[in-house]
Amino acid sequence: MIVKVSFSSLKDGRWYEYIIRFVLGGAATVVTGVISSRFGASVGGVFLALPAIFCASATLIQKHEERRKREAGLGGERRGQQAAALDAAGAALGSLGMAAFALAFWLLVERQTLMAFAIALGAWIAMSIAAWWVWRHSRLPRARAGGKSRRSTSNGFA
Amino acid sequence: MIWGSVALLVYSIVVCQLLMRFRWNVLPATLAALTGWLAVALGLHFAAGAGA
Repeated sequence: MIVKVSFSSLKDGRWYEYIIRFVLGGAATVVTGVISSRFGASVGGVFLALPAIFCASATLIQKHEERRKREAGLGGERRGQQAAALDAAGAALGSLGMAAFALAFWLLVERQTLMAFAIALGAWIAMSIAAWWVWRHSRLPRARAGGKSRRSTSNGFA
Repeated sequence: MIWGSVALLVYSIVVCQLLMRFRWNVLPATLAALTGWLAVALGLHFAAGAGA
């Protein structure tokens, strides 16, 4: 599978949905800043990984999928849950990349800040891609086996 | 941030399970798991001595 950018999915969203995401993202940044100045950078750092826009983002993904299914004349509740769950799985993989970023930056920042930032960014990209690759290849054999058993069932008695 | 991202990993897995296994709706699942994120993140942070 080739990972590619699809701008056509931008058409699915309404203008206010993007505003909700930007506002929540901005609010999370402000809250992190306030916590950081009140309780120290170490506690503030924890809140940099707060899944603030995930709730809104996953809810919008669910709505889009349900709308698509309804337009096709089908009930899309389960499909919406599955799409949001897939988004959560992606967030889990991204969190590994974020952990790699934080660890690399923490280890290197005392030597040279800019270099630490660049290496940490590289660690984030490498870890995220590696996590996705492992996840993808660990799921493919199961998906193939599932598909095979479904085919044999449909050819059989079910 | 390290502990926050570990908590994010736990959060994402919990949300995924609530949606797929227990068939929760998205909004209650993501909001309920947020309390778990807070508990894991601050728990790890203070257990590790508030360092990273």
